[in-house]
Amino acid sequence: MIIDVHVHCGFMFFPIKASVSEDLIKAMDEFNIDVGIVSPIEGIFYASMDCNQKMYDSIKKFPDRLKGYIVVNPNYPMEAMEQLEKFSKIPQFIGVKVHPSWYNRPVDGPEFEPVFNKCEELDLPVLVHSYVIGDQEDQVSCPERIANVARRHGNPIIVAHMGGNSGRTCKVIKNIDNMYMDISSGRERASQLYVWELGRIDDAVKEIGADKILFGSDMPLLDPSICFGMMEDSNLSGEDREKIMWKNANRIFKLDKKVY
Amino acid sequence: MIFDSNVLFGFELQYNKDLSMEKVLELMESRNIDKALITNIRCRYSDFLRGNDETAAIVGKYPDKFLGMISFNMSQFIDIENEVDRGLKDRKFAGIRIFNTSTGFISEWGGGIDSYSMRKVLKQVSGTKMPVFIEGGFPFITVGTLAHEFPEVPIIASGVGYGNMGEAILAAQANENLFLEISTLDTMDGIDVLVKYTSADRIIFGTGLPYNSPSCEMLMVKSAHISEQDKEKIFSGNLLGILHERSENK
Repeated sequence: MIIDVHVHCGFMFFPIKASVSEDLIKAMDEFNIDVGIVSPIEGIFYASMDCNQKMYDSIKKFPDRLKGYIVVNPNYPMEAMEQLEKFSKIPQFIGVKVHPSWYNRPVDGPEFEPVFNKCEELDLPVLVHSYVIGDQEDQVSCPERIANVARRHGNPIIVAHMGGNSGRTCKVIKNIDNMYMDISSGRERASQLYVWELGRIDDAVKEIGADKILFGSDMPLLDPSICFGMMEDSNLSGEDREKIMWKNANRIFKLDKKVY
Repeated sequence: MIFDSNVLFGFELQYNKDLSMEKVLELMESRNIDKALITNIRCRYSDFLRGNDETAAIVGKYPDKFLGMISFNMSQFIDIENEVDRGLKDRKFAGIRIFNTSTGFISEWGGGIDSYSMRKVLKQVSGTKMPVFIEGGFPFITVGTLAHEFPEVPIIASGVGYGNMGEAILAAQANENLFLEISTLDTMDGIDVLVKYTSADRIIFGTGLPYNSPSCEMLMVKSAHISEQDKEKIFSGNLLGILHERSENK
């Protein structure tokens, strides 16, 4: 069983072939991915208010294979609340995705707080884009700020991309029960000279344990080969590997209740 | 056969990392990588004379597994010509490796590879078919310009990823002597797209081990929607072709 918690759907401004649900299913079949949790690119990069509906129209053909993240933009609070209310009622939507950097709002700031309050009320896990390089860039969604949110709420908060600098992220999420991270883009150690590094998953498991790490590919931006390669090159026990590949996601997203 | 164009070893100055030959050999063995172009990492940090000595020693010890890539920090200036000459004469070296930004002079002082020093090196090897491997981190417009100015030098450029794939493709389309190494490639279907727009003859397998996870790029090639013949070219055929031409010119 493999659950990919970081999948996108829609057009990207890079030379990438895949964009619709059928492309995702084809790629998932090639890599034996059973379930992908998908967020609409339109909502993240193109500020489209109807992104969740458009994505649902596409993924509803594959209810057992593709699950949805509701994407909301905190710069439009009323619309964000409406989207959360509407799509949380659809069982195929099992989480929320936010991209603070692209919305230019700190994740722990007042604009996002109503969104996180609502997600907690709805008991939805939130996947937060996070990619920090040193101390200057992209601080609006750095792991420390995401931790501020996680401390205020009880629902699961997932730091995407291992936060970029996985060592920094591990230190932050280690002692916060409802914080997790996914391994998409995870071969990049953003703060180091050689950014793509062997052994990062092993290091993370040693630091925070396998229970807090989720498998994510970031396809179709990134090729699933990257995350599968990282897993293949790790030296994990069978049990830890299972936790990362699907058991943690199954627990956090309550997929037992909603899928099987 | 799998021939890795991008392997490093030695002492890592900037952080604690096992780059020992034991680690390199273990990774190659376990991932079925048969041969590699190898460079001592000291060359990145200026101590390139010692680094090249260590590269030569390793190639001497494992002649069936490795070929060396001679390297240097161009800020040294006075020793570079000698080292290039050494690379041309010593059969332990198959080519030249140019490191990226951390060697100081190259980007921070000298305007990157778009420099007099780089052109001096390329002029020195022009006509010898000696390949020059350029690490990622330099714009493909610059790499392509150099390839255009020195059409007889096979240039293997690393650094292609989703953000600069279009530039890499256009640079390769414009210059038949430019090959794209894939250790930084992460784009979904990236191999398919590169093959479609440049041809499988222009793609070179490389991992960047032992820094990088070698299985990532191996899986990317294996899972690409291209023919087995094209995969063979990428895994080893193209690099063997470049090295064969070089050996014919020695």
